[in-house]
Amino acid sequence: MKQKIINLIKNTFLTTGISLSLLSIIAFFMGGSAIFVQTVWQNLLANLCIHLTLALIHQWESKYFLLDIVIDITAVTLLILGIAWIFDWFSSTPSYILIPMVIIVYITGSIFQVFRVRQEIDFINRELHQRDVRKPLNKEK
Amino acid sequence: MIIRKQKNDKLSDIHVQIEYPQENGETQRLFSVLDSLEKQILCMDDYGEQRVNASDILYIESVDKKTFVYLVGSVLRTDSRIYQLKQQLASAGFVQINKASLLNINQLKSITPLYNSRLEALLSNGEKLLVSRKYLGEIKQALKEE
Repeated sequence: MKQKIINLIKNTFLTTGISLSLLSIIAFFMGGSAIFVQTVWQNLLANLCIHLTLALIHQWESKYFLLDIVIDITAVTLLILGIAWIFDWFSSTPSYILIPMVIIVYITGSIFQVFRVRQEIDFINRELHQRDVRKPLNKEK
Repeated sequence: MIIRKQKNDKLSDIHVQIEYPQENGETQRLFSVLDSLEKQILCMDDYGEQRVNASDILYIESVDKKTFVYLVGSVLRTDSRIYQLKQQLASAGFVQINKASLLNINQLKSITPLYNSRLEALLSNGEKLLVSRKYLGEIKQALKEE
């Protein structure tokens, strides 16, 4: 449970960083010069909501990988549109920019996730290999 | 590790005494294996009921609300549910690998990522099982504790 909370916080900060970086790039090309402090906090809150929603969705396991992705992206997009409406993001960022941003952040976050899973698998396989080297206790000689 | 075996006709049961300078992964694993030898679960097959040592189990799977216990060369059934067995067999090295399966970690050889973001566990008998990413942390934790 503790590890799950740590991962949730880590993931929230990671995607907040990605989305703020992306926002600053888009703002730069649209002639913007600064990001409001409230935007940073709203972004952090939005990302926390997204990760909590995804954690809830992932309680249900699907056999189909593509279906998982479609459900994730749909849920995240709907959530972001709702948050954008609450915080009036549409006045500065239209939905045709916001939705591709959601998809880019989702894909980037998923790539980081893949690397993290690979690291965990490497750790597990290394431990299993070391255990085999130390002569398995449950095997008959 | 130095192993001493001693036959003693005066004893009525097996006595195991472990001496160690400090507790580490190896001692933990030894305790876990001994624990799994002691732990038994009640299973059924076509011929009736029988008690099975946890150490002999490869994995346990729930299919259509029925729980099946997989051993090398045979499959048995048990009335216990996955969540009950998870608690009961945790100290014997059993971890949940997906919503419906518990794996004896002492039978795990390796884990491989599949193309569709799924993971596959290779067991000591060559059998392969799907691992959910959600439970990867539990496997890692179980190995760390060993």
